Amino acid sequence: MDEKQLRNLLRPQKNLTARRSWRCPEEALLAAYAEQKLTERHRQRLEAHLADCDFCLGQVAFLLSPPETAPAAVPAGLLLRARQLAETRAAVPGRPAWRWGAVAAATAGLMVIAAISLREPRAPVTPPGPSVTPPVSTSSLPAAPAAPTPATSRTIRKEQRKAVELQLIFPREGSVLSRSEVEFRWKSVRGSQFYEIRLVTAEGDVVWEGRVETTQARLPDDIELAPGREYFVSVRAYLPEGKTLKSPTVGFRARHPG
Amino acid sequence: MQDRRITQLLHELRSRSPQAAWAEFLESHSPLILQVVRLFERDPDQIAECFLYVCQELSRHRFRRLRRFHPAGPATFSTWLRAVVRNLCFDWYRKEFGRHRIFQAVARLPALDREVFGCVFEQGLLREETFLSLRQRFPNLTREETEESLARLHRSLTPRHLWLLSLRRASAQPLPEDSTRDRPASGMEIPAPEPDPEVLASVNEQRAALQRVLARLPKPERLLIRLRFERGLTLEQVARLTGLGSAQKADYRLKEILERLRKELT
Repeated sequence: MDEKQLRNLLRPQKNLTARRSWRCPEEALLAAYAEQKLTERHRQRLEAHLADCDFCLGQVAFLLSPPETAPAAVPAGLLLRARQLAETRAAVPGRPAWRWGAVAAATAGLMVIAAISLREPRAPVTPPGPSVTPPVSTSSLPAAPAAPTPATSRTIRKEQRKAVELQLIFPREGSVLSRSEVEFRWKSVRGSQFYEIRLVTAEGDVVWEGRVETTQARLPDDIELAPGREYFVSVRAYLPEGKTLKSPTVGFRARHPG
Repeated sequence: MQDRRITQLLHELRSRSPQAAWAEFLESHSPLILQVVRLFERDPDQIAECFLYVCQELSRHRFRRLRRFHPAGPATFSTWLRAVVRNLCFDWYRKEFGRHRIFQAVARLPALDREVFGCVFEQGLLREETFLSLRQRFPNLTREETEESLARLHRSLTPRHLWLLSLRRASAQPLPEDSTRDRPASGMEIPAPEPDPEVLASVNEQRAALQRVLARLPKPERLLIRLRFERGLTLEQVARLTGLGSAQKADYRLKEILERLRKELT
């Protein structure tokens, strides 16, 4: 097999179907790779990804390829329309009167709801038990009572809305952890099919990404953390119907050994 | 100097009145954006639409996407911007023409018909290519069955389906590195005469064997082969990218890998 044959056989077959996946690195990393500006470690890690990723390999080849056409000036009309995109956005604070109307209507609605709820008698205080929900409980979602009063059912609805949050339990923001202590735990999200964990450096470089179905994950042994360096972790829950829910990003620092 | 200007520009885009900075950004970088957009589209109206979509996405949420660039990072702004614009062009394409979901009329058909649909109407394969490609998954498949399947598909697809498919294929054509340029503009038109079936069969077998051998290669070696022969990078580019140093070294390394590939293939 000569080189020409090989080239024919390896012609890209999947350009239109290749999609960017959650594993794919940021554009900045690919751009830096194309410009040969990555450190050896980052380069090797990226190359391991590129060897099997059609989309990113295509991106790198694109960045290295000479442009087919010379840059041409954009037609004035088109440029003007593009320019106006910022003008309309910048005008948002003072622009639409109807927005203020909507805000006023929403505020009025909230006030009416507040007034009604204040006038209604409170639900009788019941002793704590497994099947009874204290009306102002906020932390965890309690079991639904068998026959809720109107007041308690409203409380439960609010709590359900609050419960749709994804929170990292460990590590805590600003904590300093040794390599062996690094693991990630988060609160379960009802209905989630799996979770994606993403660990990045302060520069935004991806250190590790993983996908689990449980609510905890450990950093693989081959991933090293630089002592004293700050890292950021976030978790994304994948829910039915393509919905996702992302946790707030939590920063922690790798402890110096000893 | 350029970096300092970009830093300043990004800073100004964060301000409460970013219009001047946005205008300056467009002044200096809109030709680059248009250049990338033109790789995706040939039709002037579509180029304008795609260009505006890219600009809209760049300016969305107070220029959040642009502000993600770190001037202190290793990549230069223009290279980074090209990568971002290319991704946005893909987004525009999907937004404009939709994801390639299978039609309900096809989804109801047997698995073989759905596969034939994928090969002929989506990938634009020829009849013989389709047959050879599917024979790996359906070992007992005959050419007659492929023909019958194709006939069933033609009966199931409405003119609207065919029109949508032609849009997909037509819009897909100008994409860079598109290997299907020599394919028909519409997936429905099966050109004749087809290549020699024996040649096609041989090529398909070789391709499958090569993929198997490639999959067994260590990742750095697989990347070298893909960069050089799949993406057509020069030896110099491959050497620089992968840290091999010189084109001669890259050439030597590639020849070494090729020799191993040959041995494994034979």
